[in-house]
Amino acid sequence: MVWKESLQEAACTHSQSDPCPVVLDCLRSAEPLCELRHNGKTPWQAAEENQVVVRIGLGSCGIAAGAKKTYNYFKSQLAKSGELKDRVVLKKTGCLGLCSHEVVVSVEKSDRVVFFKNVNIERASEILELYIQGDSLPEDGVLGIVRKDQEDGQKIGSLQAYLNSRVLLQNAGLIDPSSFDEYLASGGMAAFAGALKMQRRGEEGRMLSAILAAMSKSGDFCIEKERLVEFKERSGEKTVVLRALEQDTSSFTVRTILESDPYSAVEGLMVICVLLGASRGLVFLDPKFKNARVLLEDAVCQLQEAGLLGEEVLGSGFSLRIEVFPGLESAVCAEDGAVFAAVLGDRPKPGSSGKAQGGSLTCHLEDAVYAVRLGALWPGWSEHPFKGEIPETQVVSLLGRVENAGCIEVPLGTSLREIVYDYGGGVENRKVLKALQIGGASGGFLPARLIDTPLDQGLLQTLGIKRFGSILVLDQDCCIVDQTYYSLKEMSGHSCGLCIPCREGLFRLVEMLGSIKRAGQGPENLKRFQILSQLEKLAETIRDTSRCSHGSSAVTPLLTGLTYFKDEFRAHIFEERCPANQCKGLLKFKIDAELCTGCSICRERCPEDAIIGQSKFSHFIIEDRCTSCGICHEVCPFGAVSFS
Amino acid sequence: MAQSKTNDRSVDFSAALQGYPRDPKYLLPVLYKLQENYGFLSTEMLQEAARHLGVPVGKVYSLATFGEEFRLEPLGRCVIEVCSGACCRIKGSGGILSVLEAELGIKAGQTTQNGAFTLLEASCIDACALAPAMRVNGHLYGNLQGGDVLRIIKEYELLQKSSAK
Ligand code: SF4
Ligand code: SF4
Ligand code: SF4
Ligand code: FES
Ligand code: FES
Repeated sequence: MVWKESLQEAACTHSQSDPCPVVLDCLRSAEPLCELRHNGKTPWQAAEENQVVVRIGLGSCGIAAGAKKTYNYFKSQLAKSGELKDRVVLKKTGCLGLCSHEVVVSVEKSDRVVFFKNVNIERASEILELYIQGDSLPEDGVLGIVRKDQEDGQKIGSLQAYLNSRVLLQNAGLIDPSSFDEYLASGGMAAFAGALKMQRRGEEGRMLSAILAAMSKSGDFCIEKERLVEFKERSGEKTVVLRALEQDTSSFTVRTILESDPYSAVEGLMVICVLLGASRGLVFLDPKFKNARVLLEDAVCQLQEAGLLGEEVLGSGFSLRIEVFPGLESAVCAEDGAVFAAVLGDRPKPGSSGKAQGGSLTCHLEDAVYAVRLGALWPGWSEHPFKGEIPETQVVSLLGRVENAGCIEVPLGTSLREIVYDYGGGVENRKVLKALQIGGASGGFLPARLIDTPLDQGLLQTLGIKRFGSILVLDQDCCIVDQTYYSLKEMSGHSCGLCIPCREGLFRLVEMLGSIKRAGQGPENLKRFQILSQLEKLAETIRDTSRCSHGSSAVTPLLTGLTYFKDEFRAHIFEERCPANQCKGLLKFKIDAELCTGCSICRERCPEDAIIGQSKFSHFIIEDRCTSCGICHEVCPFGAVSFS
Repeated sequence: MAQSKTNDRSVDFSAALQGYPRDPKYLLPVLYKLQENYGFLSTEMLQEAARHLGVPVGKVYSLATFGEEFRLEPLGRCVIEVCSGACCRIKGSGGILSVLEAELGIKAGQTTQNGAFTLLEASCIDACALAPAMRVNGHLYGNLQGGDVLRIIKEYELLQKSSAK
């Protein structure tokens, strides 16, 4: 954690041996303010001797994997035993980002923290007996060990190294997302302190450099510099809208950050508001994020009580309000126009782009959190705003046919191969990688042979997307045509309907792809053959003539699919064959007479009445009637329906 | 998932709206709040929202009909949300959905005639590690196969029958 050490070097009225205990006191004290940069502690440095701290990840996907059961189990076991109750502290954390390993439980004991994966009740009792009461590690289920005294984890194991390398996710899964105290102990509010100090001293120039540094993560301005300056100089009431929306339809990066570290999100918004002189911050939240919403509203309340929000923040003559606003789902907010309309209570009309509109400006969640990390360096800042001292990273959601799916943070420039094979543990069940779809339903395909491409600006440009969100891993059993079809369908469903290319064009594309996903009948076939050339032409037209980026990006999967996987499209169209055996409509279904028990479950459910047979005797599919819907295959309890 | 508790005109919706200032800006939060409490947005609720915030009813409608956030019809007693997120889809949620559609005789987004079941397609329900997954009245079911779905539906059917008695 090299960059974290640099937090401590500047001079201050306090000393290293006697640092300001809490940044809040620092903020409340009169000028001149202390210049010691606030050093964050990893949460486990706070535990007392002889204490055992058990932390359980209760993020959404932890809960889905049964984290509540595990939590309640620990709770009841601890309550039962007086000895344990005195020694063991039970805490909740957010999500570490390693979805496939959920439920993750970490146990801090003596000089180390052991992370356990997939902790069901059985494992939990093992951990309790063997490790907490005894002192031996259970044989399996250990995700990694972090040594508290050793900051550099290279030798110990990859988990420690990984955790230390995280910047935006630095607190994720380690601290209690509902505890302001833990956030403060981990170095929270230092950025706000830095920003507020500049504001109090009226250091306009420094504030501008600070905001410019914070908003230009990865060297690329997420908002044009001029607009930012213009907004800063604007007078009157100003609002900063934090886009707490996923980057794309499959990503869960934002959700992970919000659920694991809501205070960083709010602090980020506060910092940006202070630096830009805005008195109102709005967290524009995807309505799906129910857990995050509770956490955020709580966080805002606590900050209000601490006097960091409201009228006259800490007597600075500056007032700041933060509101949590359940907005619209990210799929309809490709353009900020939709966001601005929604916060005014209007029906969104995309197409009106522009980051700033009147007294409002949007920023991305990741930029806000980045501002917090960068801002931790501000209290002792003299010359430059420290950009470059923080490693540049990218948070991505890795999902699909990969061993270890999750929300991971990697250094910018990491190759996709490292992401899939090192971070992700490779393709599920040791299958062969076929392609990656980067950017959700509007993201492009990248064939396996290009897997050494680094994750950087260049890749963004190649794929024609603005930011990274999700990386979907597709193996040999996935069909590109099928994947394109569903991607387009999703985008088409979220078209606002304002312009024709997107509204009608996408719909037509979905229709065409749908028709090549099933076998043609007679005269249909002629049309079928024309589809290949039509697809590309229509997609290009939509890309070039859509009014907003929703429509123009929606065709990316199709265009990249046609570039890299044209053979698959050809096989569907000309041979009526799905090479990956995924498009049911091109498959033939058959009942295996040996396996069929004659239970009639399939016969009763076939929508075409294509199955005949007497109960208790083997059944049979009449090929001519079968439309290959696949329902019989799904419902047969004996696996007797096969397809080819 | 909130259940449709009422269809009743006499219910006072204004209680749910307390705390929201009379400002058109709060239209979206107000609509979410109403839907959260009652499971759907009725005409009366939309009118109440318009009155409370001081905006024309037309404006309330135009927002309430945008996208797929709001339902203007009550939900069935049992709400099935089949995940159609990327993970679930490549692990076969399409098959699950078609079995349910065939079994219940409705399409995704519809409610059965008797009001027993509503079938919805949801975007990722946070259980990707258990894909394909669905939620029934808030309970999560993961690693599904067509047969499991039939069994689960039967269970809820029986449950409804026994509670009706
Ligand atoms: S491209 Fe699509 S989303 Fe954008 S304005 Fe046109 S119809 Fe609306
Ligand atoms: S469901 Fe399976 S076992 Fe039962 S009749 Fe159909 S094919 Fe045979
Ligand atoms: S695939 Fe569909 S139509 Fe064909 S036999 Fe099976 S259930 Fe019937
Ligand atoms: S007042 Fe001393 S470190 Fe802040
Ligand atoms: S995609 Fe289905 S739970 Fe995430």
